[in-house]
Amino acid sequence: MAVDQTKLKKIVDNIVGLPTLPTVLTNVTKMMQNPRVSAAQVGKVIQSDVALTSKILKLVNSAFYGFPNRISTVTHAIVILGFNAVRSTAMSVSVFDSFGGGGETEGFDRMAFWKHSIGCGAAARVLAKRLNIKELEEAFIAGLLHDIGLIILDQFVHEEFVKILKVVKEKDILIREAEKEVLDGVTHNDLGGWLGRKWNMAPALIEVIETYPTPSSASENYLLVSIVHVADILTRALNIGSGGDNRIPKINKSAWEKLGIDMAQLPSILQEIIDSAKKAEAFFSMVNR
Amino acid sequence: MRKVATNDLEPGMKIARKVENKAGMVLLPEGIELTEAHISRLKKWGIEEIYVEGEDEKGAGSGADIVPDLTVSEDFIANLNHKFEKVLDDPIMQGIYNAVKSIASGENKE
Repeated sequence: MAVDQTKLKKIVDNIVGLPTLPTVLTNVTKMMQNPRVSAAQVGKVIQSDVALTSKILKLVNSAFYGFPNRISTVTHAIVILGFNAVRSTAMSVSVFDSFGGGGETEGFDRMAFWKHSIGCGAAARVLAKRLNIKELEEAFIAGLLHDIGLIILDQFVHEEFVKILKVVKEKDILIREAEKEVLDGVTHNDLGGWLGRKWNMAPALIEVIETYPTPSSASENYLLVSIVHVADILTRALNIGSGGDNRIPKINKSAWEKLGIDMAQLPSILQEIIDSAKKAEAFFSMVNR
Repeated sequence: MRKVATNDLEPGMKIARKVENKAGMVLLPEGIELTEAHISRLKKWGIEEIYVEGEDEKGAGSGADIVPDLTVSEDFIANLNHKFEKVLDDPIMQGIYNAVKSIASGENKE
């Protein structure tokens, strides 16, 4: 169900002042295309950005990761966590820096939004871990950024967003349904995907952002999309923050089955998600200003 | 663990993180239960806040309240019912609903 590109274009053409991706991240992405690049080389480039470096180190040393010894340099973090994980962390920091502040829109609580996002990231990571997926940080960032399009709506398509929130309130429906009504079929997923391309996010991440409500429309990254689809629903069920509405969508059966969760195990999985979300405080402190 | 201003401390609270002065000297160790005497000493030392055991109260404003307190409120269950109202005909959604409810009622606590 690809969105009508002309309709999306009509909206994004009016967006002005979108923050750009920090140069350091662009450079790191380029460097990582070379399979022979070393941790020290990438570390050196990231460490040229002092603010970014200190935030990355704060996160990787937080309770969320629970490493027994302090990680003191970015190079060290790359050696322990891997290139993709550190790039994901750098991406999270950049998103928080660019979109973390402000937001006083009535009916859309930014803090609740970030709680939902961080909770969903933690949930996706827990689910990925149970499936023995190696790229845990990719799952975390996919959950963390799955609704980033809502921030784009709030910040850059504000008038329509206010209308959307009004529809959500009046009809008590999912925000995605209200978006389709107000934006002629366009959703926060489409706007999030648009940002993902502008920001050179990993293709898997873009696919998650665009298709997590409808996993059957995913292609290459079906498993990751399914994980975030389920993570979003579990985070809503646990009432961890809010993504702008107070309903829960019906789960996609194939996506659920793909994860192979035994219903009898679900309470302990939920408990694991709660514990993990609590440990993600360090992420929240980066937007909490 | 939660951060509490020294003025709001009460005897009986347990220290969750050791209290140090600026020079790094330990004033009160982790794990002890606060007495009136401790609290007045903390005030005298000019310590403005310390970490004590227990969860953050709702709306306490620190980052520790990402997860709502699932166990206490009737509101939580009422809200859960509302959220799931239109999807409970689906067996998987029903399973999720029941699992959340069991956690909220503390059945899953070890």
